[in-house]
Amino acid sequence: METLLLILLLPMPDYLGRAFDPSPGLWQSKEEARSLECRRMSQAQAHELYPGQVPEPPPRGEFGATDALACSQRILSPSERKARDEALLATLRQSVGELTEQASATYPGELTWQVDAFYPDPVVASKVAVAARTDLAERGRKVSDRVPVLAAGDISVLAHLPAKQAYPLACRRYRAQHLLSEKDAFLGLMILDAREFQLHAGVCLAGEWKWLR
Amino acid sequence: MTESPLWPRPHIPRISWLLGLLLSGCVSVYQPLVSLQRPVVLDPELANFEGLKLLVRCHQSDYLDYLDAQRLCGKVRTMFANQGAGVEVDVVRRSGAGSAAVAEEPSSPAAKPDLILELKSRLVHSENSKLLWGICFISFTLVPAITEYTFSQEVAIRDPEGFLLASDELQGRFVRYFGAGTWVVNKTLDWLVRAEPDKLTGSAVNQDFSKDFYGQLSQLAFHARMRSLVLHSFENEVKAAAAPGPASPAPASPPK
Amino acid sequence: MRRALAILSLALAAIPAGALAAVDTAAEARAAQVEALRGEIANQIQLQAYDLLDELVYGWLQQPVFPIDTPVVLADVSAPVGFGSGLQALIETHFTSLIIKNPATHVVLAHCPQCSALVVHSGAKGTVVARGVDEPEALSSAGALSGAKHALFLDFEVEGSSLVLRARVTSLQPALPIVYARTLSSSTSSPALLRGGDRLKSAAEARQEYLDALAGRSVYLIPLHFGLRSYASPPSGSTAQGLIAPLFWLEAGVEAPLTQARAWTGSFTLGATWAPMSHAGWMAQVRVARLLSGTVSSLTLPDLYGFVGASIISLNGSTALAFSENVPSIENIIAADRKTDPHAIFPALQVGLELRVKNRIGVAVFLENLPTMNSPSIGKYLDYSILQFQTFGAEVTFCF
Repeated sequence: METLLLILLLPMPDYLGRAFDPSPGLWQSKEEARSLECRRMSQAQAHELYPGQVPEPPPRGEFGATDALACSQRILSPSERKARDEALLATLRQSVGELTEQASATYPGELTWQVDAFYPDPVVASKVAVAARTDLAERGRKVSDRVPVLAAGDISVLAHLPAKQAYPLACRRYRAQHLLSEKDAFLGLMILDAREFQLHAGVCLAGEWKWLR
Repeated sequence: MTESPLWPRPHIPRISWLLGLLLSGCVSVYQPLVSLQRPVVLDPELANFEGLKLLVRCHQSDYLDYLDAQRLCGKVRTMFANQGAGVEVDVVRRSGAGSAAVAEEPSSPAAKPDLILELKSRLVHSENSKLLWGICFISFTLVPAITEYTFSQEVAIRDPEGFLLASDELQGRFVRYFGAGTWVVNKTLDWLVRAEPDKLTGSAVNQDFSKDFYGQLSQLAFHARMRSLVLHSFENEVKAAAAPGPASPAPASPPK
Repeated sequence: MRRALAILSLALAAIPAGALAAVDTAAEARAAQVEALRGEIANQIQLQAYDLLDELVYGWLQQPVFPIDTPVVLADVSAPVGFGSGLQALIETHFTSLIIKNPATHVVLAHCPQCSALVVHSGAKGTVVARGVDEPEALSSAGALSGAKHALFLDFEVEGSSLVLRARVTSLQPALPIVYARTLSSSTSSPALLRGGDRLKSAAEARQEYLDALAGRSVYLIPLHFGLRSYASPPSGSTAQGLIAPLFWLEAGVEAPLTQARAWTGSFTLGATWAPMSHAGWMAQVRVARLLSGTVSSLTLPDLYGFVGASIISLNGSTALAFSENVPSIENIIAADRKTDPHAIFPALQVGLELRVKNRIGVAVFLENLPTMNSPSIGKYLDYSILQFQTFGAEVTFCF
C-alpha cells in the first residue's frame, strides 16, 4: 500500500504542472477551452511577453527544447455574438488595415477620403467604417467623417441590383449628384455574400469604381 | 494476509497488469489553437461550391508521410465534392514530384482548375515522457502516461495563375492520456455528468477536430472563391452558387 | 493491495449514486458560474477600457492635440457590440475625470446635448434628419455648440482577446475633417495596477516598473527558521518511554535560487537549540527545494515548495542520552548532572513541504530520517521498510 502511494506521488510535479493545462479535461470544459486564444512560442518570446510567468532561457541553452503555450482569455465567448459578426470583428483591425493600406498605396495623391461600410447589421457596419476611417487618418491621409448619401429612389433601385452593377452605378450617381468632387475618393467596404466574413473593398474616384480586393 | 490456494499471491501482480491493460484506454483531448476555433459561417451541408473546379494538393512532410497525405487529400476531396465542387487531388512527395494524373499542365483553359488548394503539415511541438510511461507500467496504468503534440496545417489557395487568394495556418493540439485510471474516471463522467457536446471519450476528439478543420477549410476556400470573383471583375459570377447577401450599397444609416 | 482494490471498488460504486443527484445541481452550478463569469468579464472590460483611456490621455499629455485650451464635445462613446449603455456611462465618467485631472491636455469638455440627438434641419436642399454632430452648421446656427468647434468620438470594440479603442477628433466644419485619430489595443497596454488617474505613465514606464518589481526580489535571502522537531515515541513494550521532549531550533543561513525565477532554490543554515538543564546543540543543514505550484515564484500568490535536505545535529546534555544505543539509566542521568556531559552527533535526512508568501514568510512541515540511529528511545512515525522517518518537524520562516 505504501509502495503504491509512493508510486502515485512520484509523478506529482508533472501533474501539478498539468493543472494549468488549458486543454479540456477534468478541470476545464470544451467551451472554456475554446474561449482561450493559445499560441505556441519559444521560451525567449514568452519571457519577453510574460516576464513574471516565464523564466528567461539560460544563456547556454537547455537540454531538450523548451517552448511555451501562451493562452489569453477571449473577452467574449464565441457564442455571445452571431458567428459572422464575431468572425469579422475578431480580425477587424487586421482586415481593415490591409484594405486601407492597399487603398492608400493605390491612390497616393492628395485626396480627401470618405469611407462607408455595407453590412447587414448597421451596428457592425458602423464599427467597420469607424475602423477604416481611423486607420486611414493614422496613415496620414485626409479623411472626412462625411458619407455621401443618395436619395431614397436611387437606393431602392440599387438594392435590387447585383454587386457588380450596384457599386459602379452608385459611384456614377455620387458624381452626378455632386456628392463627391474630383478631389474626393470614396472607399466602400462590404461583404458580397452572406456566407463570408471577409471584407471586400472598392474605391470610387471621379465617377469610376474600381474593385481593390 | 493469508494465502488462498485459489488466488495465490505471486500471481496477483500478473493479473493486475492484465486487468490494467484490459481496462486501460486512451483518452485523447483536442484543443484548437490558432484559427481552428474561429467561427464558421458557411454551412458545409449545402452546395457552396457548385460548378467550382478545385485541385487539392497535399504535400508529404516529416510529419505527414505519403500514405497519410493521400488519406488527407481523399478526405478533403470528399468534403468539397459533397459541397458541389469537382475535385482533383495531387499528392506531392518530398522530392517535389506530384501524382502522374496532374503532372502535366492542362492544355485547355476549360481543364484548368478554378482554385488550387495546397496543404502542408508540420509538427510544432511534441512531448512524450519515458519516465511517465515507466510509472504508468509500474502502477498498472493507474498513473496515466501523457503524450502531447501540436501540429500546424498551412493552407494556401491560389488561382490557376498562381496568385495567392487566401492563406492561413491552422494549429491544433492533441493530448493523449493512456491509463485505466483516467479512462475509468472520464468514461464515468461522460456517462453520468457530461452533456453530449462535452464528452471526451470515444470518437469525440475525431468529431470535434473534423468539424473544426473541415469547417475552416471550407470557409477559406469560399473566401478565396469570392476574392477570385472580385479580382476577375465577376467574370465567372454565374458559376457561384446564389445566396442572399448584402449585394448593393444602401447607406441608409446616417454617417457616423 | 486487496485493501486498495476494495477502496477503489467502493469509490466507483459510490459515484453513480452521488452523480445522479449531482446532475441537476451541476446544471444550476454551471448557470451560476456563467453568470458570475459574465460579471467578471464586464469588470475586466471596464478596467481594460479605463487602461486604454489612460493611455490615450497620457499620449495627449506628451503631445497635445491642441496648442491651447480648446472646447471639445464628447460626441459619441460606443461600447463593443453586444454590450449595453452601462459600460458607455462608466467610460464617459472615467474619461471626464481624466480630462479634469489633466488640464495640460488642453482639452476642455463642452456640454452639447443636441450633438448626439437627432436634429431636423430644413434648408434649400431639402429637409435633413441627422445627428446633431453630423450637421454642425445646423447646430451652429441654433447656437447649440457651446463654442465648441471639435467633436471627440470614442469607439470600443472587442476583437478576440483584445479590447480596441479608436479615438478620433473631428472638426465641426461642413466637411467634417478628422484632425486626430488614434487606435489603441489592450494587447499592448499595461496592467491596470500600475496606473493612477492623476499620475499617468506610459506603457513602457509601466512595464519597466513591473520588471523592476520582478527583478527587485533579491537573489540571495537570509532565512530565519523557528522550528520544532518532535521525535517518535519508542514502540510500546520498550523499556524506554517518552524520554525526548520536542526540540526547539533557531536556524539562520543563506538561500539562493539555483535557477531563474526561483523554481529551484538551495539553502545552507546553521542552527542552535538550548533548554536549561536539558540540552544544548547545534546543527548544520543544507536543503534543495523545488517550486511545485508553478514554474516561477509568484509576486502575489503563495508558492508551494517541496524540499529535501540533509543535516548534521550535535547535542550535549541529558537529552543526548536518548540518542544513544543504550537505554538511559539513572546512573547515566546522574553522571550527566555531575558534568560528565553526554554527547550525541548524528546525521539526518529530511523531506518536506513549505508554503511561502512573497519570499518573505513561510511555513514548512517535514519528516526526517536518522539513518544511523539505533536508539531504543526513538520510534518511527512512518516505516516503509527501506525508509523510516523518526522525526516530524514544523517551522516558520522569515526571509530578509
